[in-house]
Amino acid sequence: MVFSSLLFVFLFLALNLVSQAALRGVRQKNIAMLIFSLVFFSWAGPRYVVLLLLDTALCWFFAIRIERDPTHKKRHLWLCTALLLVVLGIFKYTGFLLGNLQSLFGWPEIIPEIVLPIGISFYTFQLISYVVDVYRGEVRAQKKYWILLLYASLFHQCIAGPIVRYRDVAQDLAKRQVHAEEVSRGVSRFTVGLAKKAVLANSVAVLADRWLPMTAEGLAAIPTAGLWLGGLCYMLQIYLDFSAYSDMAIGMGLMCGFHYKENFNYPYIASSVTDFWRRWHISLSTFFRDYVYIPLGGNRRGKGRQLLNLFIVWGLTGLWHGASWNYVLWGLYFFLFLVIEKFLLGEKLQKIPAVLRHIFLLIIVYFCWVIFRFRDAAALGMALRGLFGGGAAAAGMAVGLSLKNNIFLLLVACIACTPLTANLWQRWKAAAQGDGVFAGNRLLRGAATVWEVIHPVLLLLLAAMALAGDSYNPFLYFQF
Amino acid sequence: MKQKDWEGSARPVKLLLFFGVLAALCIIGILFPRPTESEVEKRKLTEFPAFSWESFWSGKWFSGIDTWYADTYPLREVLIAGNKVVQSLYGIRSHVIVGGETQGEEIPDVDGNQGELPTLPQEDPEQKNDEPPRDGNVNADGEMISGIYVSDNVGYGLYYFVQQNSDWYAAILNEMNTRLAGKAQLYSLVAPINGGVLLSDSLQKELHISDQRESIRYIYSRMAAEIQGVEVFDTLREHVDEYIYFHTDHHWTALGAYYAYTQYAKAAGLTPHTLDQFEQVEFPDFLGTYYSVSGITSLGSNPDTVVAYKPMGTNKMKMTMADGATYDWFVVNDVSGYGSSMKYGAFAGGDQPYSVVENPEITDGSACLVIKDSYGNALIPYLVDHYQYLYWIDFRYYKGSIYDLVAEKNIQDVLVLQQIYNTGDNGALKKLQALAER
Repeated sequence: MVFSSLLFVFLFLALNLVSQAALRGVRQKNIAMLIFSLVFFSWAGPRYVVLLLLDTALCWFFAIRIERDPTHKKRHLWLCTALLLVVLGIFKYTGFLLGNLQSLFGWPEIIPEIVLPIGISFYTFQLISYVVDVYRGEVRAQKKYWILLLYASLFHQCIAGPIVRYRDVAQDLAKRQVHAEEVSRGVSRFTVGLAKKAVLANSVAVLADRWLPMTAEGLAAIPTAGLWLGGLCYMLQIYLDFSAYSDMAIGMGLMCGFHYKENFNYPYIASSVTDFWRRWHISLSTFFRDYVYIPLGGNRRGKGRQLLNLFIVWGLTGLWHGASWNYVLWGLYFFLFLVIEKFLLGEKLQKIPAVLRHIFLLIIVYFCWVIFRFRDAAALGMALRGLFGGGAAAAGMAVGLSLKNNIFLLLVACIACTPLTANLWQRWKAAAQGDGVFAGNRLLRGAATVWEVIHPVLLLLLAAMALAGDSYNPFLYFQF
Repeated sequence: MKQKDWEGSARPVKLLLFFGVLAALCIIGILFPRPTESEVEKRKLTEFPAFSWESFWSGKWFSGIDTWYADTYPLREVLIAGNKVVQSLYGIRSHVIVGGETQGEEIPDVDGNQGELPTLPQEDPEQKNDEPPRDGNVNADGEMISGIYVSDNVGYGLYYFVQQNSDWYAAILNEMNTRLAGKAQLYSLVAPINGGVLLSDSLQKELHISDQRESIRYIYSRMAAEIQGVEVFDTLREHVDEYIYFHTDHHWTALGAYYAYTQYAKAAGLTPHTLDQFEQVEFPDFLGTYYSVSGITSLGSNPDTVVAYKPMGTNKMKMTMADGATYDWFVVNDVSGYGSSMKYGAFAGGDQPYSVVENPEITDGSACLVIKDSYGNALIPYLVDHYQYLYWIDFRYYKGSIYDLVAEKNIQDVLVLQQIYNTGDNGALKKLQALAER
């Protein structure tokens, strides 16, 4: 099941919210939540739920062992983590590994096709973070298996993040408090995310597929201008898609009394690659920082070791996104720029005018997504060649027409990548409340009230309209 | 606190409104009856998936439920209509290209040696044009539309030449010709679509679409010499300022079909009748496939009128449906009561497997068989007054053998009439080949 589907919004979520509102007491609510989450999980294939159950059982067992047998806790931690990673490795990276062996040594001849269980990258990491936190004494082990299972399977974030740490929801799991003000914020956040995905992300995705097709053959037929347009649309699509899922997760959480941390902070307005990664998929980069970089020694073992640590972390970050070399390349691409910023430019980075820094960042990010898009090396080569004028296709009127036909959509999509509308709304609300130049203006307050009241329904209906005839609804991170 | 006052007082209304609407949409999805067919999209809607343990475990059953839920949601048509309005705001859409490929292949020069004639492929040829329809590439009436260019509220279909498929089409006709040798004369009429005829050649170059005149010439050059190719492109070009194609539909009008008919008459040695000899009827407010399937709402402001010309000898026909039942029908049917998307069905009973007209005013035993797609419908009425017996079959639905038909009914003329798309579409070519080999 995907969030952006009529079934999810009109049936699943509606019933889920009813269950959370109607049931009394945290225990009942949690049981209902667990049932809904497992149903949600099974939607992609009940056979994969078994894996989730097993992984959770492993972590439940080992976390308790770590607490009960602290002298051997390191051994328990390593064993548990190793098992989880082996499972992840088997399902996600076997094909990749065997494929590489095949191209190097000609063996094995046949590579088995293993279907990637849904959400495995997310819940594996969440469970690892749980066990490590227990090991570090930052959180008490959860005695009840089913509560841990709820944590791992919570449908709000199990498929597409944010990667939620156990300690961040432990309190909510034990004791839930739902405030009207939070529900209200949750409703707004959810509908904004839903509309962002169904209307904006899906629409630019169509353009991205048109102008930046996935095959070398398709790319050869696209004029250079078309490729640039396609790259732009893909850049917008990835952000809008992914951040929308986090918006929806956070919004749904707030509606039920869960508090998830922010996962995106307008990454495209970043002024450096370092800044970008403080704003993009925050839960992933903090995971790697806290559970890989720092344990490896971080920057406390000398420059050489720091470089190696960064290399490993960014290689892994890339690899996490998919079992293909282009993802590793993508990760190391950022490693390169981060090293340049940290070690070569250092303080000098601040001396570059802000405008230029922003532009450089956008260019760097633009190309990172081109690398990210193509698993097939031939296609990647074709795309890059075409972008720099090597395209064989002659320019026609189709690109200009496509741009003209979608100019407002693209404008809105670009604005949606900035905090412009959010800031405008804050100022408007402040004015309506009585702060600032337009303090107390009746018309402003009236308009703000109207907008505050109707925007969730408006966005919901807009999204429903977009989803109704939309057979096109991919979620880019669905392979996770 | 005065600060939170207005937000606090707005909150209950906001929450009530949102959850109320959500609850309503949920209840509608559960209680209201669900449609089984879409008139606008001309297809059966997804059914609730059948349960099997295998599909349960693999998740296929669940994803089938997902599709079923969205496809048959009671308010779906309303929501889709709303979405089309929203999409029309995406940009400046006076000129739009929806779907389409990036360019067609080069059309080989036809002057000079014909070379070896193409033969039928033995195994499944490498699939071209077989990807699932992209946005804009739609399946209308079981016919593929490869892309639409909309300009000033008129839709133009886009055609892209694929040599392999054009050869395949010619090979199919060659096969038919071989088996009909000595029994009937085979005629081939490939009808250009409006994008090729109505748009200027320079605009077509800019759009990167293929030259249909040259494409048709190429196909004809690959047919055996005994097959009579009917050239209609130039004739249609001469009448470019007349209403020969619909604005909102991928078909030609009865007028466009008339001009093509005159060319067929020439090829078949018949004297074409003039339009004033027929009784004319009109059915306004036709919004065809370009409108309903492409989602370009601006076309809605430019509806078509279906003008039809009733045959002189008789307007009665017998049509046999897929289930074998035979009905009396009309060659030109009164569709004034039909939905606005269905008015092209006025011609020749729509797309049924097998139909016959017996013209009482002709007694010379002449008989003709038209192997047609939906383009043929508009041309068939004109043929009624030339043959005592006129048979037509839709290549997509007829399950019998055309050769048996020709022998049984003493048919002398066989006309294969297809729109140019079908010479490029794998699905259509497969069906035509099956028909030719039966």
